[in-house]
Amino acid sequence: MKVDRNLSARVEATVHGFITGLKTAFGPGNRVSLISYSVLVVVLIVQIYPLLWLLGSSFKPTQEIFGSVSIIPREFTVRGYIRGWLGIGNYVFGRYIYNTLLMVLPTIAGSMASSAVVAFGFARFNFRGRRLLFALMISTLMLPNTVLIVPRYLLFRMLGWLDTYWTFIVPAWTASYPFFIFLMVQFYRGLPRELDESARIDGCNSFQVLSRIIVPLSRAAILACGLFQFVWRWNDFFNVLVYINSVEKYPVALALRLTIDVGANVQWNNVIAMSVVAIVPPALMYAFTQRYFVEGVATTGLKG
Amino acid sequence: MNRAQRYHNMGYVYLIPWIVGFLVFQLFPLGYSLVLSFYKYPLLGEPTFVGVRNYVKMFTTDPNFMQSVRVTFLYVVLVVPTKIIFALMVALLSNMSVRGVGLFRMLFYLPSIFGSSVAISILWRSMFLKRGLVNSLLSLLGVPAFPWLTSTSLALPVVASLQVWQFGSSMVIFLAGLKQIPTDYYDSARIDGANPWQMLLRVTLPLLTPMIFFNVVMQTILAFQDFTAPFIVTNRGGPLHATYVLGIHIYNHAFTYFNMGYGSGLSWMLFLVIMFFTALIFRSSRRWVHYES
Amino acid sequence: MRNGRTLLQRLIVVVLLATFTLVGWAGGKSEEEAEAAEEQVSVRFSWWGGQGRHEATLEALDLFMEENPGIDVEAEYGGWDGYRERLFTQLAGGTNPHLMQIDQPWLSDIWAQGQDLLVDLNDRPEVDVSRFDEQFLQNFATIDDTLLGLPTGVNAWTFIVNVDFFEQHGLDIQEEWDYQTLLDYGRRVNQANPDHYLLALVPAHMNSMFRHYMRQVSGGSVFNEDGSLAFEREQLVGFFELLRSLYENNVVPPRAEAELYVEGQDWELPVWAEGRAGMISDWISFMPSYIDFAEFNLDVARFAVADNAKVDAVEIRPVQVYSVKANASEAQISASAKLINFLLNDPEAALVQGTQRGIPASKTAAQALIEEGAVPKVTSRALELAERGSFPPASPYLTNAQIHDAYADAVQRVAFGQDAETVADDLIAQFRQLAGELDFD
Repeated sequence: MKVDRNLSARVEATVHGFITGLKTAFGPGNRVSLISYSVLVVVLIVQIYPLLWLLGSSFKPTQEIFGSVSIIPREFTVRGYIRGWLGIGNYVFGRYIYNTLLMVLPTIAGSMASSAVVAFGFARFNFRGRRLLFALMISTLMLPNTVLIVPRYLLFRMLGWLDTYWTFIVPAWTASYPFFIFLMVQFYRGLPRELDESARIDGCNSFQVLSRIIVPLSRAAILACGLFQFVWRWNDFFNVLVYINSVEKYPVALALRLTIDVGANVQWNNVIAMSVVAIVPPALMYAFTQRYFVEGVATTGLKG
Repeated sequence: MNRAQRYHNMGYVYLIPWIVGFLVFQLFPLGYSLVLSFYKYPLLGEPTFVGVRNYVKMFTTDPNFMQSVRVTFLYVVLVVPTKIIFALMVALLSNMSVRGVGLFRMLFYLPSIFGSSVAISILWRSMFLKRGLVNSLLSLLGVPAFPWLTSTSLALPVVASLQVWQFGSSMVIFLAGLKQIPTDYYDSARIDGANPWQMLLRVTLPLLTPMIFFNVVMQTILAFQDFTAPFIVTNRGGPLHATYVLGIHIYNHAFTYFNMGYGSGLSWMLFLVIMFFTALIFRSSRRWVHYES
Repeated sequence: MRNGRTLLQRLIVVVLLATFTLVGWAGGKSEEEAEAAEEQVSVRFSWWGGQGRHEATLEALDLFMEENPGIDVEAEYGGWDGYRERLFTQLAGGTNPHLMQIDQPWLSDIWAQGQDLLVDLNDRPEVDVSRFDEQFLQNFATIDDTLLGLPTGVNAWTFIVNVDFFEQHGLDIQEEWDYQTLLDYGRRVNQANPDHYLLALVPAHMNSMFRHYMRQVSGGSVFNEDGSLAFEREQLVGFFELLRSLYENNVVPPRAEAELYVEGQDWELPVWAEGRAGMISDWISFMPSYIDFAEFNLDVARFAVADNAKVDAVEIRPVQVYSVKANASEAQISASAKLINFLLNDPEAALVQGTQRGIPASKTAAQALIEEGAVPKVTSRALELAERGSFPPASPYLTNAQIHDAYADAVQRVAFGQDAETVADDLIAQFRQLAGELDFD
C-alpha cells in the first residue's frame, strides 16, 4: 500500500536522522548540541510519559493503578476494557463512538467544502468590499465562542435542533469556523493567478476554475482542514455539553464524563481504559497524516 | 460592466455560505446576547427587562464573579507566557539539533492532538490524586506527597500545567518560522563575528516576532475561555473555587441555573475583557514585532 | 501528493455514507409520533443512581414490558452529576422523557417557571394515588393542588453507626444525639487514637448538617413565605462556629481527607471504610450500599438536634418523585402513568427493586417488602427514629438551586478555616439578594 510504504520510509528517515544527530551531538567538540539534545530528550520524556502511563494503566487492575510509577503492569488484564466498554450508561461504548462519528463526519465534510469554496471567493476575486469582508472574517477568528453560546442555544431551541447534531453540522456547512477559511486563503495565495487566467481563456467559468484547477491542487490543504476539524470536534466538550442532552446521543466526551461522576462508581481501570479508547482515533489520524497537520499549522502561521 | 468585472463579481456568490453563517451564527447571536444581558430570562419563563442590573450584580452581589475573574487572570498569566516560552525554547533547541527535528516535532505535537479533552483531563486528575503518579514519583525521590487537587494554592497550577503540556502547537509554528529565516542573515552575522547567543538575540528572535505575536494573541484568547480542564480535573472549579474560571461561572449561570440573561451578561464581560487584552497586545506589537518589508 | 488523493477520496466516501445515514436516522425519529397512533407505544424513562439501582430498575422494567406488550420503555440512566442540567434543558426544549425521576426539591423551581410541564397525577386513573400517605403527598409533591409527581420512597437522614468502633472505644451508642455529646465523644475518641474520628464528614453531608441545624433553630424552613430570613444572625454564626469546633477538636477528619469527588462514594471513604470513624451521616436510601460494603456491624442513630432547636426534627422526604411529561400524546401519558403505578404500587415490582429507592412510599409496596423481610432492620429503625419529630414542608426558597449552592459554598469556606462571622455575614447578604430575585408566588 502506498500509504504504508511512504510512512515507513519517512519513519525510517526520521529515526535515521535522529540517530545521526545523536552521533553528531555526542561526537567530539559538540558540547552545545549535546546539551540541547539532552534537554530535548528530558522534555520529551516528561511530555510523553503521562500518555505511556495512561496506556499501561489501562491494562492494570484498579488497585495497581495508584501508588505505582511503572508503565508495565505487574498483573496484565483487559478487564478495564471489557467492563468499561459494556458498562457506561445504558449503551455499549461503541455506541458513543458511533455517535461521535455521526456528528463529526458531516461536520468535517461541511468545513472542507465550505472553506474551499468561500476562500476561493476571497482569494481569487476582486470585488467591491472584499477587503472589508475579509477583515470582518478575520476578526471573527478572535470572537470567543463563549459569548455566542447562550443565544445560539436559544436559537437552536427555537429551531428544534437542541439535542441533535445539526448544531454542529449546519454551522460547518456555512463556514462558521473562520480558521479554515483563513487556512485555505493562505494556501490559495501560493497558487499562481496565471492558472486561473489560462483556464478562463480556455473558456472556463469560475466554478470550473475552482473545481478543475484550484481544488485538485489544494487537496493537501483541504485534507488538513478536515483533519483539524476532526480532532477539534472529536475532543470538544463544552459545546456538546450544552447542546446534547440525551444519553443515547452522547458523544465520547460526554460518555467519558459519566464515568467519573460523583454519583457513579468510579472504577478507575474502566475509566482509564475508556480514556485510552477515546484518544485512539485522533492518535491514529495523527500518526498517518502528521505531515498535513504540521504543514497546515505552518501555512496559517507564516504569511499575513 | 465588462467581462472581467462580471467575473470578479462572482466572488460574492462564493461568499454566500459564509455570509449566511456569519449573519445567522455569529452576528445575530452576538447582538442577541448583548440584548439579553439587559434582561432577566429564566429559561422556562418569560424575559423581563432589567436594564443594567445584571452588570451591577456582577460587581456587587455576585461573590463568585470577582473570584472567577481573579482565577481566570491568574490562569492566563500562568499559561500563556509559560507555554510560549517553552514552545520557543524547544523549537530553538530542536532546530539546532541538525537532524531528528522531524521526530521531535512529531512527538512534541502529539499532546496538542489530544487537546484539553475529557480523556486527558481525566488522566490529569488521576495523576494528581493523593496516590497518583505525581506523588508516587515524588516519593521515589524522597519528597513527601502534595495535596495537589485539594489545596487552594496548588489546584490552579495543576490545571494550568495541562495547557502548558500542549505547547506543541505553538512550537510547530515557531519551527516553521525558524525554517523561513534566510540563511544569509546568519551568514552575514557570523562574518561580523557574532557568537551563537548574539545571533539568537539579534537575528532569530526579531525575525520570529510575527510568530510570537500570532501565538500570544491566539493563546490568550483561548486561555481566557478555557473550560474543560478546570471543569473536569477539579470537578467544576474546586477546591473552594480555586480553579473557577469565568467559563465555568458562565456555564453555571446559563446552563445550571438557567439565568439566560445574567449568563449573557457574564459572557459579554468576558468578551470585553478578551477584546481589551487583544487590543493591548496589538497596540504593543508596533513596538516589538518586526515584519519583513 | 498521491497519499493526499487516496486519503481524501476515502474520507469523502465515508463522509457521504455518514451523511446519508444521519439523514435517514434523523428522519426516522419522526416515526415516534406514528407509533403512538398504532398499537405500540414507546415511552422514555430517565433516572439517576448507582449500579445497584440501575440493575434493579431494569429488571422491574423487563417485568413491566412482559405484562404490557404494547408498551416499550426506553431507559435512559446515568449518574447524578449533570442530571439536573440535562433535565432542565430538556424541559426547556420539550425534549424531556415521558417519565422522569425528579429530585423533589426541584419541583418548586420547575413549577415557578412553567405550570404546564408536568401532568397532574390526580387526574390519571391509571395510577392509584390512595396507596400513598395523603399528608406526605400534600407536603412534598403537591403545589397549588396539582400533584406533580409520586414519591418513590421515603427517605430519612440518619447517623450510620460502626458498632465495632464504639465497642472498641468503650463508648455507648447514643440513640439520640446533640452536638455537645458529639464534641465530647469526638474529643475522647481522637485522644485515644489520633487516627480515629467520631464522625466522617464530607462536603455533601455538611450541607445536610447545615440545613438540619438551621431548620431546627429557625422553626422549620429557614426562609419565610415571602423570602425573608427566618433566623437570627447569631444562630448562623453559632452553626459555623460549631462546625469549626468539630474540626478543631478532631471530631471529624481533616478536610483534605474527605474530598469526596477525589475518592469515590460515601461508603468507600477510606476513613469510614477502614473502620476509623465511629459514625457517618447519610440518607437511608443508600443503606443497601453501606450494608454491602461495610466489614463491620452497623446500627443507626437519630441525627443530632441543635441545643436551641425550636423544632426537634430530622429530615424526612421523598427519595425522589416520578413525574410525567404533560406535552405528550394521550397514549404516552397513559402508558407512563401505568408504568408509575407498576413501579410504585405493584408488589412484585417492589420486591425486585428492594430498597434501592428507600422504603417504598406506597403502602402496598412497603407491605410487600416488610412481609418478605426485605427491608433491612437498620433502614426501618432509622425511619422510625426520624419519625419522632417532623419539619413543616421546606420553603421553595430553601430548595432552590442557587440558594443551595450559596450555603454549600459558605459551609466549605468555614471548613477551609475562614472566619465564622465573615462567612455568616456574606451568606446572609447573598440569601437576601437571591431571595429578592427569586419569584415564588
